Amino acid sequence: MSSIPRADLSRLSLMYHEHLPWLRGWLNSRVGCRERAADLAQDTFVRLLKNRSSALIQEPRAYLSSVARGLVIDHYRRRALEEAYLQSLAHIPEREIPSDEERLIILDTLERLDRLLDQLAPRVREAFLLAQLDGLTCPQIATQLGVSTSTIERDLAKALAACYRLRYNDE
Amino acid sequence: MSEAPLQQETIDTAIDWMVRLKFSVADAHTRQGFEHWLQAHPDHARAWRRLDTMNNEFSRLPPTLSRSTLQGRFSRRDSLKLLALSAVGCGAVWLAGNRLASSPWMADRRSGVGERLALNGPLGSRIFLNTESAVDMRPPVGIGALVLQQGEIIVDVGAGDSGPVTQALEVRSRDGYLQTRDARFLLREKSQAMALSVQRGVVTVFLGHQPGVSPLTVSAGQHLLFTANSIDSGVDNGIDPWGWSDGVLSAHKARLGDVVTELSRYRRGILRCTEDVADLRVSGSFQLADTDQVLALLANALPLRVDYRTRYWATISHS
Repeated sequence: MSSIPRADLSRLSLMYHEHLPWLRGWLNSRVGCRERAADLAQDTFVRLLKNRSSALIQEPRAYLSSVARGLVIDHYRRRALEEAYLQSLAHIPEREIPSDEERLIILDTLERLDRLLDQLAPRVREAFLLAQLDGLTCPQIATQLGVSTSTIERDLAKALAACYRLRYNDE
Repeated sequence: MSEAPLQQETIDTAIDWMVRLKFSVADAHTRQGFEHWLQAHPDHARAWRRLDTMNNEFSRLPPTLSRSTLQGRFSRRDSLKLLALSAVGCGAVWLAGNRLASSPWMADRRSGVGERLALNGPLGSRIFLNTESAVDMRPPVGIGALVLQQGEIIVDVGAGDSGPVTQALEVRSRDGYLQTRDARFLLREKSQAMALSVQRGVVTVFLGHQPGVSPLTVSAGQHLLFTANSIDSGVDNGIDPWGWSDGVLSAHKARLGDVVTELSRYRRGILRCTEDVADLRVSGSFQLADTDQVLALLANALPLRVDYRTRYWATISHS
């Protein structure tokens, strides 16, 4: 991380001291768990530090809640994904069940993939999964989905472009 | 990361190479062409490394488990093909019928321009109405259901001490109806489609009036546009759909044109911006309670001026 202007830091630290209890309360009313709310409040400030946002801060609480809202959604998204993962474990052989460390990496990657799939049209989504997860080639996917190979190539290019935007554009 | 951003053209070319090399069987000639491109500029190698990292992560996923998890998240992904096939316009009938059954002025609760209301809904739910919105909760409808007649609402059900409700709450709208026992979600009637965002829990969506089409499940973190016979993932315009629940408009690199359209929902009269400034980008959180002050703030931060023809007719243009 490159250095943060001193003025920004002191503004942020002021916001932290003044609004942290309020933010925790706000988050608690959304997630219904004190510990989780405290974690998310920390995450909110970490995100502010990272973003070094040039946003117009008219009202600190409005701004904090706008960042925190995104984190609340992420929190529930992740929980839904973890539930789906646990349910899926029941359907696979025991020797294929990933270890705890593997599980974390898999869930993090699935979270990114899930977010990506959300942005894609149905056919593009399916083509991308067939290519990435099942390792099929463009001609094989084209046969399976009943469209031309060049269509699948365009679909995969679209998916990769969306993927790239999600991953690198907000640096 | 302190490196300069890559040119879009470079990224697009790298993507083309990736499709040809990793997802097809490449011949020697193609590989040679790729090597040549890769070495032609350091940025090419950088773009390639980034794509390759991304790709490797996905290809390390266990296929069966991953697919099953993602599909469990979205049973709607399964329903997609089915929908495309069976989407033949029965929707219009539903639309006409729904409109006739209850017009907005027959609603029992409505909010005015710039107003927001919090109501107790059926089954212990909390209902929040955004500006210019109307719901009908009168019995017999109101026992386990409500009708969104106009505008935008947030529904929160199952969050109380009693937890998820035993009977599903039903929310009817122009283009279809929703059911849930435990969720916090937002539903907005737009001119072309209904927009649904789910913050907590799971919502089941029944499109229009089409027997035989499987319902879609939308869960936490997902956003969806639907009409009586189609669904779409929608485009993120950089404006947080949940902002108004805290009385703010939150924008992240949003088009000024979109921000102005959104802002105009909260004030009487005409608010517009000229075409030459519509593509300027705006980030920030603005209090909806005073839209004149928001305009003043925007004019202050960007090269803009606001002209008031009358109090209810404001135009934003380049200063």
